[in-house]
Amino acid sequence: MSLVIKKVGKSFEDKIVLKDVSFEVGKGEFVSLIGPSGSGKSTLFGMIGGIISPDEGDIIMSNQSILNKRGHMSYMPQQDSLFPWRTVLENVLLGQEISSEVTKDKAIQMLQIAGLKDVINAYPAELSGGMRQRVSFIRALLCPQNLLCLDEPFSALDEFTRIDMQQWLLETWEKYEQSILFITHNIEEALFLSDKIVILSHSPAVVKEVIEIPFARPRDPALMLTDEFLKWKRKVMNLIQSKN
Amino acid sequence: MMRFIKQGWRSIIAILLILILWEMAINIFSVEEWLLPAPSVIFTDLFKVWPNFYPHLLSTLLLSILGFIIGSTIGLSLATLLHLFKGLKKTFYPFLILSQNIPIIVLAPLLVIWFGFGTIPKFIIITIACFFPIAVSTLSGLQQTNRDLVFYMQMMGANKSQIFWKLELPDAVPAIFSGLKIAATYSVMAAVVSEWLGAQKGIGVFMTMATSSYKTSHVFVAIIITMILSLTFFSVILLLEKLFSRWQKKGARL
Ligand SMILES: Nc1ncnc2c1ncn2[C@@H]1O[C@H](COP(=O)(O)OP(=O)(O)OP(=O)(O)O)[C@@H](O)[C@H]1O
Ligand SMILES: [Mg+2]
Repeated sequence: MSLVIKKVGKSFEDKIVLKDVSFEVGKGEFVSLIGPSGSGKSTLFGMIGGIISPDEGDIIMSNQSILNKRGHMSYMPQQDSLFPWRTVLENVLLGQEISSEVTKDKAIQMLQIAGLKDVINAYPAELSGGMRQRVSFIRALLCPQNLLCLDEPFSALDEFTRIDMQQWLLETWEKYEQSILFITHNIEEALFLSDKIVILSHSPAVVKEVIEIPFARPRDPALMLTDEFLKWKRKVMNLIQSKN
Repeated sequence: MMRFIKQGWRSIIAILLILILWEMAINIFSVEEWLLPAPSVIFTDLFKVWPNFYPHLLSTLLLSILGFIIGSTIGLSLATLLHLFKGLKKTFYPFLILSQNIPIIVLAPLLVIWFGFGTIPKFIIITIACFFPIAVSTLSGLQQTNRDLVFYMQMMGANKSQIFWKLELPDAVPAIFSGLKIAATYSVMAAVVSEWLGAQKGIGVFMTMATSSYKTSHVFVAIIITMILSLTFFSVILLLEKLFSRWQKKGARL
């Protein structure tokens, strides 16, 4: 699976939101998308999901255009969006129910590996915010689609839970082969998680810069305290603040 | 049962108080029995008349259960149709409300003219009383689906029928049950009223006979049994609701 965003543009009424946006997500790659609020990141996700159609450009997955076609990606929103009347196991199976056949054994196995064994039969209301996001991620990961789109999944969590979650996410994801496109406002988060960061500018949003992050995997949170990491952080900060 | 007593003791005491005052008032003012019988008289009559009354009760029970099932099915399907086809809703929603403005007393004789004295006019009356609360609450339940969840389903590529069956319908279950509870009590009332149209058996028939022979205490027996029947119906629906919404008991499992 590879995803190519090709010269995509979109306006709402007469406000130009995205302009000439191009980048790629390779097979098994973790790509972060950062940019100011209102720059059109979620709109871009809507296009990949096929529920918003761009004014110009194309979106190509594995050499085929998926413009206005639904069901080619798996999605994890900011709010966990778990269904309150379903147990954790039933929730995790929802993505599969929509797009393919249900593999209950695989789901149970995955929940066990992800450290959610004790809550398999619990309802979402019984879980903490961090736990719910874990379940939400497993639900996305369990889908057969090879692209996971995560829209600020951790922004509602406190700092402690967030760092835990970042590491858990990496550990869990590294066992599987899907590509991830990840929206965040947090530069450290983007640096720690990604192979590649796409920086969007203020409106109308264009791609300011695409930077490859060289840190080896598997990654450890201690990485965030190294000089190397801080150097990269400074670099990204400068890029974000620079005028076009 | 213990919980019922715990929550309902205020009502139980109130009822007992009213009964005692009633009994005393009848004795003090020595009211004629055919005008207003004392509670004690009603209760002794209840046991006396029970073997006679029982077949009537069964018939009404059957009628209201069947009527309720027909009415709820129609109400649910109607709400679903109006929800899925927005154009239909704009056209027919006013009719839904108008249907509640038809006075049953006027309609009943017409129904007899059209359909005779069989069961059909009775079911029509119960249905008219039942379907409305269910249709209205189901419709509002279906319309108030969490937007985030709908958006999630769309982003995942779910089609309209998946969104309905997996999200909108289960999300509307609490609303549907609040409609069912109202309809359950209406259905018993409507069954009794429909029996006034003419029937061989039923609490309504029993009532008419009691009234015409000035057996006021028998009328009260019928009223009490009707009330108990309504309450029982209501409790059954309540129980089903509990069964269907176990997930709402937050944090109960951990
Ligand atoms: N359906 C719509 N109609 C009109 N304007 C819209 C619509 N959807 C989004 N917009 C506008 O497009 C712009 C981009 O919105 P979008 O949600 O994609 O931004 P974002 O980058 O995800 O922001 P944030 O980081 O705050 O989530 C905003 O200015 C928003 O007001
Ligand atoms: Mg957004």
